[in-house]
Amino acid sequence: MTPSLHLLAKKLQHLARMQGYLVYSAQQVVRIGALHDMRQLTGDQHESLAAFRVRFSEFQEQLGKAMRAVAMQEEQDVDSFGSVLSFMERLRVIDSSEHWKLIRELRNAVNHEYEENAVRLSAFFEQLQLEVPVLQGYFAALVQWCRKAYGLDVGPGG
Amino acid sequence: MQRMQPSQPTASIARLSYPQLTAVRSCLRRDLGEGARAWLFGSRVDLQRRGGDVDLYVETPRPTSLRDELLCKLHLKEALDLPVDLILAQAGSQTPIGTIAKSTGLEL
Repeated sequence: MTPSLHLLAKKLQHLARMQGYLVYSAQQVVRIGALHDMRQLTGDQHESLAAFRVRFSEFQEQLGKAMRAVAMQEEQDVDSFGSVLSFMERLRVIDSSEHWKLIRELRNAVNHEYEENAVRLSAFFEQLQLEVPVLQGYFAALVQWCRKAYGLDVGPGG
Repeated sequence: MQRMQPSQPTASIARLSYPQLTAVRSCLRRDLGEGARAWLFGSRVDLQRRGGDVDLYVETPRPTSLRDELLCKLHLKEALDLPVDLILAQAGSQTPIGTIAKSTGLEL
């Protein structure tokens, strides 16, 4: 195995672990239920919300880096991330570049606009929950592609 | 409040070009519907300043889903290649930012 493929395998294994943490955080947020009044939340519940948005953001960030690594491995243009997304769309790893960007917009908004408005915050977290399986699907498709193309074994969770 | 006329040379009243303003209106119409009313405000209507985000305050007849709001913001950023701050409100709502946008901004 080449050094770059070895690095890619490590990235995917790391992502598999991150995915487990993200799913755990998503479950914790489901347990909190609807957000009516932020002041009613316990310290642990605030921690769960914070962990979820951070893990969501980091998972997409690292997934993007792994996709870029695959594009480089395939000698594609990686000067702009838009080119990487187009390539991933052609590989059917992602459904559309726009959906990926929408998820990025969502996480930027939830991190930037973290506020006390419970109605708006509820909408953010509901949308984040809806996008977790989408990110998981992208990751699964990337792993499957790497398995087929390079024979990479990501191990449990991948 | 100023209101932009179709034939008005906008370079003198807003620091966005006519094609950029047309792109903004096109995105808003497509993503938020015909009934949306928008005001450009903040640094982009201050002729003494340079650069800056594109601040848009938009009122819609009906509540907008978070997904549609984010899509609209994404389309605006891509169309303008500039940072965009998009604030949505339902028509008739009274907010401090809405009052500022309407009184100091340019209705598109």
